[in-house]
Amino acid sequence: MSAEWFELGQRLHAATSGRLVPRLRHAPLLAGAKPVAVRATEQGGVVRVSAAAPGGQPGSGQGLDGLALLAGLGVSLDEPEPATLVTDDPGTLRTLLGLARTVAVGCAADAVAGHIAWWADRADFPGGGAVADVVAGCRARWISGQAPKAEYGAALWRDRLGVGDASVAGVLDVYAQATAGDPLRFLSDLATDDSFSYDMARKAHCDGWDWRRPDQTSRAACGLRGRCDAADLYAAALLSDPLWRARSVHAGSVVVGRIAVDAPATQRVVPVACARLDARLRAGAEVLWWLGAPGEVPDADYTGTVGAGAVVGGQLVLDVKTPFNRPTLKAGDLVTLMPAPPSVHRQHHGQMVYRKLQYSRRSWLTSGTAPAVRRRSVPLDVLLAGASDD
Amino acid sequence: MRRLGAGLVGHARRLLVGTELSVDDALAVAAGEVSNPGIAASALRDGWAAAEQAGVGGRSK
Repeated sequence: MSAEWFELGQRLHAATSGRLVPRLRHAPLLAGAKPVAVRATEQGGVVRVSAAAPGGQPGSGQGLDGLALLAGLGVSLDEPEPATLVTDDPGTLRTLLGLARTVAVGCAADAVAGHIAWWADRADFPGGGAVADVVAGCRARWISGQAPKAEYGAALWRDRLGVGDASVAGVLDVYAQATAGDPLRFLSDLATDDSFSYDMARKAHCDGWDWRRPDQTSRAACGLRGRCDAADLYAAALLSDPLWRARSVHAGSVVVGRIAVDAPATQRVVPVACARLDARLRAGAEVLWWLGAPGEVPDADYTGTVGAGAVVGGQLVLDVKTPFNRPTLKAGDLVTLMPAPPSVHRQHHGQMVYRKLQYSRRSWLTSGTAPAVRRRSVPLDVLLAGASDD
Repeated sequence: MRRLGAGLVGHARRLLVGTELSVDDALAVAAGEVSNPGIAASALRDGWAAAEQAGVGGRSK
């Protein structure tokens, strides 16, 4: 895999030109409707919170006063819409959660504590809009001319983006630039999931559910399912970006090749001679493909399935099962293949099934018994490929 | 052309171990000033080219 060298090429360009180099053409963060910039630090057992909303003056407070400050900025489960936590400090959410845990159940600050717990729950959903780490967002969007380690500091991004305000209000300026422009595909779907989750959190709060208690197994299973779906969707969102696809050619997840033989529209299986041997598309993988280079996307694209792969004369040849609606292909046509994005509808249906199982007494999810194992035969060539040292 | 920072030089040197390219070579190869048939050189050139074309409009899937 040569993705690291590809990235080094981008980094050297950024260093010599003195400009940020886009890693993505689209914004990796969706601009939230209600962003609240927060920094929280703990010293000697005292938590100090500083926060700001767009157009307002930054404020600060300690302990419960800090939570009251957040409540004043709309961070509360009593609010119909969730606030987006915008921060440039990776320790802020952990510190806030520690403070939220000190709040007594049912007291005035409980709705704020519940909202912080919701942030903590949603923070590990890739591509989610509940929590925006602007440093991670900048790293996802641009490459600087510095070593990667230096890009973990917020000061570097403030400097490169021309944000002079180092206070918590300046975090919102960085956020505005990191979210500017068209967002990646699927981010709006992930935001819909955030909204649904927020409504569930509000309902649970009204019902008196205490978020401090550990999750039941069934609830944890639903959460894991949701996180896995979000990770799949975010991976597809990244691949929807032409610059990321160019990088992914060097990681093997996007494959460029040429049609090996003339293939009339009636021919289902089309052999594709790949330009590289390190393709990560395996037999059975569902793919999206089109005629052209990774960055040049025509109007028409097609789905397909990788049937088999073999190295012929030192070149990887993938047999791709194609649909009937494709055009006639000629030997030598340039073609790009990448993993087909997951179906958002199918993901929602799967999560709905899980939620039903969560509340059904007899389901394997609530009864604690392991589901029945389903086995399937594995083709011999797959077994041989797995056992091979090559 | 600006000079590379010490941190970036160290990072590049680590990535180039085993490629027979020095950091200066990598810079020249990436910028297209020197040709090199290796895999690392090809990836460096692609990365550099992607950086140059990043401002040009493109469509998404």
